[in-house]
Amino acid sequence: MAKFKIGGRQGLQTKTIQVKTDDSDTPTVLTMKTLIPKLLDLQPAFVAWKRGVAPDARTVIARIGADEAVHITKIETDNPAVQVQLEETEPGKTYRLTLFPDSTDESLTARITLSTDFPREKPRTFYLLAHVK
Amino acid sequence: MISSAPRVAGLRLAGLLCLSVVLASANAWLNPHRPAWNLDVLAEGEIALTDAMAVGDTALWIDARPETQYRAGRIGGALPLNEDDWNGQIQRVLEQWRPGRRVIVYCSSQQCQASHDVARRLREEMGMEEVYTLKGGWEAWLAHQK
Repeated sequence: MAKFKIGGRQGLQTKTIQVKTDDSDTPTVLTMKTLIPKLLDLQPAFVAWKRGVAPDARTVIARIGADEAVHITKIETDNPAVQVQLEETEPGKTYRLTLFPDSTDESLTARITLSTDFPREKPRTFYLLAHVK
Repeated sequence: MISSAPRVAGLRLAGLLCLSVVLASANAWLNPHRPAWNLDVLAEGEIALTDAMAVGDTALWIDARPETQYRAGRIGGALPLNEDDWNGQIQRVLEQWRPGRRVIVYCSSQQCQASHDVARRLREEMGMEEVYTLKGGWEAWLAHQK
C-alpha cells in the first residue's frame, strides 16, 4: 500500500509510483495528480512598501478553501510598527485584512499571525509577512 | 604532370592546424586566467557549495529533508522545514529570518525536489528575496567533509 502524506502541501501535486511485477521486466508507472486547495488563500501572499513611499494601507483578501466555515479567531502582529485590522466580509468564508505601517522611513518586517478554529482538534495557524524594504 | 600547388597548400594548412593546437595547448596549460573547463553550471536560484560555505552562519540554513533524516544529521544550525509539516515548522524559520538575510535550502541530493519546493514557497508566500537552493544538497556537503 502506498500512502501520500498531504502535510502542508497545497496546489497541484504530482506523485509517481513504479510498480514492478514478476510478469514483466518493465515497471508500470502510476501517476497521481491531485489538487489540494489552500485552507486559507491570502491574496496577495505578503505585502511590501518601498522605503520612503507614503505609508498607505494595503489590503489582503483571505479566502477559506474548506467546504465548511472557518473562522479567523485571532490576529496578531509581532511588530507594532505595522498595524492590522481584520474584517469578516463573508461569514466563515472571506476576510479582509488591512495593514498599514506607521512609517516607511526604515526597513522592517512584521509577522502577522492568523489563528483559526479549523480543524477543531488541532487548529491551524497562518502567517503573513509585511515588509518595508 | 600533376601540379604540386594543392599539396603545398595542404601541407601549409596542416602546419597551421598543428601550430594552433600547440599554441592552444600551451595557453590551456600555462595561462593563469584560462577559463575553467569544469565550471559548474548553476540553475536559477542555486548556490554552489563553496559559495554557500563562504556565506556561513550569516545565512539561514533550511533543511528540507524528512524529519528522520534531519535528526540523523544536518548542517550545523539548519532549521527543518518541509511540506510534511509546513505549518508546524514555518514559525521558527520566520523567527530566525530578518530582511536581507540569505536563506539556503537543501535536500538530500541534486535530484531531490524538496529544496526547490520550499524555496519557491518562501519566495512566493513570504516575500523572501534571497532564497537559494544548495547545489548537490546534503550529499555534496557530506562529500566535502570527507
